[in-house]
Amino acid sequence: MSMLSKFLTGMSFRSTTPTFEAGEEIEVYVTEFDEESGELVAQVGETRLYFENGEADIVGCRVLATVESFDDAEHRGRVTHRKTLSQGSF
Amino acid sequence: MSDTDSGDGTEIEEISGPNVEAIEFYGGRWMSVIPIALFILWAIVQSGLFGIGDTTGLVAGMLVALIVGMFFAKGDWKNYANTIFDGMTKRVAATAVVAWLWAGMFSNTLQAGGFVGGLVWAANAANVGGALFPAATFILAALFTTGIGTGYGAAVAFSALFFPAGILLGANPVLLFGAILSGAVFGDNLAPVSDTTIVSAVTQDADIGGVVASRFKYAVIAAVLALAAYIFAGNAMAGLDISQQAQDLFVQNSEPAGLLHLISMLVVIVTAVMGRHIVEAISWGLIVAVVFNVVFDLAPLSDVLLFKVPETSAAASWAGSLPIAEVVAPQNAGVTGSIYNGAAGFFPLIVLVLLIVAGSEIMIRGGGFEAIQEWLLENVATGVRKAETTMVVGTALVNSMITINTAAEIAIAPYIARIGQRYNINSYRRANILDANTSALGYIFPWGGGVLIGFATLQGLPEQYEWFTSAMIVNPVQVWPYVFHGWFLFGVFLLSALTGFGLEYTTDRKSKDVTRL
Repeated sequence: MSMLSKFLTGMSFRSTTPTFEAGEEIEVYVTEFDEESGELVAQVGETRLYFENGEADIVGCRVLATVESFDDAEHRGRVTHRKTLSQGSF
Repeated sequence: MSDTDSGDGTEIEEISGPNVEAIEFYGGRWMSVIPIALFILWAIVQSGLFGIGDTTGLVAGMLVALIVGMFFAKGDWKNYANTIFDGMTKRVAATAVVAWLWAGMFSNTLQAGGFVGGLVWAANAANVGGALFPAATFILAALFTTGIGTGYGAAVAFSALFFPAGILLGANPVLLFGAILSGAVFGDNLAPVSDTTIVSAVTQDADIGGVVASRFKYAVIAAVLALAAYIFAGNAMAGLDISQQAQDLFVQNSEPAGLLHLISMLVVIVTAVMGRHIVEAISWGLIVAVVFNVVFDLAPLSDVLLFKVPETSAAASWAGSLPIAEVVAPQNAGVTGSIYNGAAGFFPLIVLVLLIVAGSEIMIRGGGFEAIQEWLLENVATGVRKAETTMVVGTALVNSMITINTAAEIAIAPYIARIGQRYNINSYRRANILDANTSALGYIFPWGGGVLIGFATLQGLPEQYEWFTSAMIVNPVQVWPYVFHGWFLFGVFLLSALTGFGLEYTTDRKSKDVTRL
């Protein structure tokens, strides 16, 4: 990332429901374990990404994941957990 | 960390961490908030009610609060005591400590080199009149604070030098004081060496260079609006009719060579934004500042570091010939200079941050942190817009109660991290919300630490200048509507939270490793 782009990134109005492409590799915080579906969830804004694998003890951790599929209309996606990177600061 | 196979074909790194044994409290998990709640109460009484801006006093408050909390812990108190150690040794506290020590040395060395004098000279050379003086003061105070990183230091330096000069030139006193405080807000928010910048970055897992670059857009929008407001108000609000000695006062404080430290300041900003470790960036800035001080005769080496050798010392016969030593009476022995004083100035704050993080750790292991967080997420921060608005208003509220802004920032930081991470709000954005509102609210209300420090300095002016009367001192109650940059910065973030301007998600871009600061 160039120095200029460090200053200019984010100069826009952002949606509450970001979209993703299948095959995209993302870093994301795992936000909850959905009791109903029994799946791990990463909520990005109001978009929900469901994990196809991973243990419940990674809730709150920053992980590397691959987007497997994404539904633009429902703002829902399925991701695969690749690697746990870190815990949050607190 | 080591990689382990999760059994499902993916590679999961084992998360290592401290022993996280839970603490049970009499009365349930909410009672674990006692140490932090008592500290906040102490801080409100000490700084807000009594008007005492003593950081070491807050250290005493946190110590008492930790002891009181122990009596509510069930079972063996060893677990409670060990949690204090675990909290104090967390990396989030240690990184802030390191950065503060470096920032303190740098800012003190800039001040020793006459940076304020250089800015006074620039205002004089530009022939700024009374109507434009508040606007010029805002720009120069912002520049100065961005260089030295401490808004409190800027409030003192500018109240002592710019305020009387501005009064003599016919600027409105209330507006002038507001402009000084606005400049302090700007620099406290943006400077890579600012204590609040460091805390905001470290607690939100972000690198300082990236944080500074990403918050530039918000700071500039608010600053442009504030500058326009000072130009307009400067023309609309009349000053006092005192014009004699104006030139004399300016000449006395004009040291153009001090402007050379703009380069020292830029060295730190540019190297930090380029992604160099903040310790390295400030070290380079410090080296440049020391070289400039000596080479351009801004300050002798003894102002940077001085050993006061007692005459009873065996080395007294030759030590006096060194540029960084002087022989003194035994009772005056010690070490001084900008490196020493700059680092030492942060000692109380360092102890305070260690203890507050310890109190937070007790709240986390006792379940109180989770209880508050659950309540916020279920009742207030129920969507990303509401979450961001909660973060903006919550930070502003805590900072309007605890007048020492860094302490307030540390107290609210864990909630900003957790609420933000719940919606995967980018670490830069979280750090920006945290710092902007901390910087803004700490300099607006009459009980704010920055306001009180400036006010205390103004009170000393009648003793310094024969023409300066007590009636010229601005009461803190008068100034709060005129801290334009603070209000605009708060407004920019409130609108940003409500509209999504500047919002970035964790998935949009990565911060550099937090260990780089």
